[in-house]
Amino acid sequence: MESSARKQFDFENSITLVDPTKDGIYAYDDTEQKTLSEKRPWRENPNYFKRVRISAVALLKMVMHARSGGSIEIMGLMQGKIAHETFIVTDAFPLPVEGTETRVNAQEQAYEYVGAYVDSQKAEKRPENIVGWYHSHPGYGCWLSGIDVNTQMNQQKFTDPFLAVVIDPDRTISAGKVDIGAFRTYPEGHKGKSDEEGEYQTIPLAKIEDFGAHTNQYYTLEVSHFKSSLDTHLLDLLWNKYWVSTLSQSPLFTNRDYSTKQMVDLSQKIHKTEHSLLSGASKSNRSSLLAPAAASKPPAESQLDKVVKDSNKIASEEITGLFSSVVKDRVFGAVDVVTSARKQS
Amino acid sequence: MAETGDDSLISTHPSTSGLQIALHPLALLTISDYITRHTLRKQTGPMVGALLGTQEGRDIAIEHAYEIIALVDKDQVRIDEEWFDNKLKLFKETHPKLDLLGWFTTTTSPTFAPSLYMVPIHQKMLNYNESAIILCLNPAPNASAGGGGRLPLGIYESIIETEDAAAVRAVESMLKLKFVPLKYTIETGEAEMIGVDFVAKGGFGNATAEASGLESTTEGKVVPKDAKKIKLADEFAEMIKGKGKERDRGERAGEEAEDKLNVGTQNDELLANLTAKANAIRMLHSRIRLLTNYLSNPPHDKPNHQLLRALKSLTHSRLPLLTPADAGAFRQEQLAEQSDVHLVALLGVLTRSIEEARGVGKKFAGIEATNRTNMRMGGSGTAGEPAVWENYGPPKDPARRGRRENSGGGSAPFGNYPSNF
Repeated sequence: MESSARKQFDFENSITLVDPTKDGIYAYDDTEQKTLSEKRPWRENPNYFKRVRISAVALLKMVMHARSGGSIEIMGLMQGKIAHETFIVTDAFPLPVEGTETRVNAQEQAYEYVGAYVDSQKAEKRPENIVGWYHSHPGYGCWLSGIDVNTQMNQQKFTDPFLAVVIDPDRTISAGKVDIGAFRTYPEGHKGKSDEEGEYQTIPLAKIEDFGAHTNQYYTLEVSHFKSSLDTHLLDLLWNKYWVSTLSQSPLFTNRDYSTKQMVDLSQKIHKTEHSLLSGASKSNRSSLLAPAAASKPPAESQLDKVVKDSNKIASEEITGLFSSVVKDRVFGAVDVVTSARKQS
Repeated sequence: MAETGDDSLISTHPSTSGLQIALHPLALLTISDYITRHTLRKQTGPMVGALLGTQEGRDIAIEHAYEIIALVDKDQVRIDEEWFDNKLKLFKETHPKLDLLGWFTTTTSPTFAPSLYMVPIHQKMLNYNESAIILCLNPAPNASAGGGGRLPLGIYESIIETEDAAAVRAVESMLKLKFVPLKYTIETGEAEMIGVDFVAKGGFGNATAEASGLESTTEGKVVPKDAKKIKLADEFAEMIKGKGKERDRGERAGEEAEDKLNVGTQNDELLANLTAKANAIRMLHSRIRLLTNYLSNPPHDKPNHQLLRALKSLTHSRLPLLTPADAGAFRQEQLAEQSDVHLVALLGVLTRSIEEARGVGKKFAGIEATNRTNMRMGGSGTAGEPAVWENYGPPKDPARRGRRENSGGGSAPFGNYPSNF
């Protein structure tokens, strides 16, 4: 039976749905990895890594893990390999650690676990090294806090190449798209370009100081994901089954807590802006004649600007949510009319 | 082994346990990931893995999966038990809510039937979970072709057939083990769905191939959808018309709220959202079409009573469930929700108006101050005044109106004037 079983496996290995060129990213070349990590091109150029590619499975695992934590920050590690200027994340696994925003090096607690897990992976012929860590920022966006920067810096010092990924599960749900960011820190002493403004994101008032304080210590990597042709094939078939939930979801309802929080935060920000605008106005009224050519925008102005952006973002998210309930109502509410008409006849 | 898919292992009895299986996409993708990796790294041996999830009474949800080391030992495949126990312990530490439900493997059988070599592994699994299930997936591309869009897999539970139990006692219980096919549904959590959506489409809209790069392919996805699009375009246009009014209203509000934001991503988000909805409605429509087509041109002379009964129960007892019991209160609630959203949108517009009003005030003050200085400088103000007003009249271009403040004091045409009002 062994030979027949072998034949069967060989047959399976010749299946055409797995295309060696298209799915080449799934292969693993041990020597290539070794030479790359011996060369250490990232030592010379702190900006060496520019892109991250995450496998479908790893992405899904991370998003679901982040969501399962609710309002608690969760954390895990990513396995994968490195390529030219790119991290390739093939898998992710959670760590039995929570509340990463309050402690430096929270993962020390899990060292034993990591060791055991990686050993078990190696035994099943998955030689991928750990290439980074991920954690969640429920409701406050993807960026690195002071503690995160410290953690990441330590990791890059001792276990480079290492990558930090942040996921916001709350915003993922409310925006209907995965909110994810990938970062690497600069070595100590190296100052990044602070004028390099990324995409604007809303930061809650409670976190805003922490956000601003460290932005020049790290940089953002471009995140994309990949899937195999078999994945594509299955996802295509899956759509046949799961389109129902696209119609049935109601983001307005599931997100009530989050949007309330957003509104509270916005109102606090408006208060603050109002304050600084009022005091700023009275001050500048007095000084405007003395220094009329002050070119730079006072901080109160950019605050107002941000408040406007935030409120518009909340509004557009709400409207997106409303769309789904309106669509649902239009499609299924009509049944109401039909059945009542039938009853009458 | 000709009997790769050994139908003799399938019990002739229908399932009596009434197990309800809900399969999550993550488990499926994990299996697919495993197969791809296994194939590309030219690893040999059977692909075997564990299925994990929750079990409440008769409801089973397959949420997670991971691979197992399989040892080929002469004519038998067995799992590395020590490793397996260890791995399960590690897994439970981070997923305390999930239990071992059963296992998965691949098959080449077109009916996804289990093979003989799977029986010993399954018996091992029964030690961990006495109602262990098995999932057989056929990764061949044509495996799902004839199935009407069904996933190329079968899920089975095992039973011990009793009739010939005494006769085969000598051969151990191995041969008595039979598999009973189970029905399954696809279930997704909300975060999972967004994740799957994201993965399936490569982010936004249909720019799939670029987003996921060279190695991934989306051809399979795009082609059938386009075909469907053409076929259903007309019907769909009609449906859109019905919704037109509502949508227009919403869109206008949406556009207004957004034109100042980072327009690209915000619009993309909205677009992706609506496209997903449109696709889902299209799907629903094609399903309904299928049913009505069947009813108007039945393929057989003899009516299929079972199908007709199912249809009747759908239209007569399940569709009315869509009507809420307390329609008035429901409507009320719905309207309240809508006005909430509109209120938020209004607030957004208001904040922006305030900012704009402030901008106007600032510019006004700037011009005023210059004029005053000019006059003080000695009468040149009369000559300069009209030019100033002409140049800095009310903003005409609505797209620029919003951005003027963002560009900072220096680059705006008002840079010459004091901007710290």
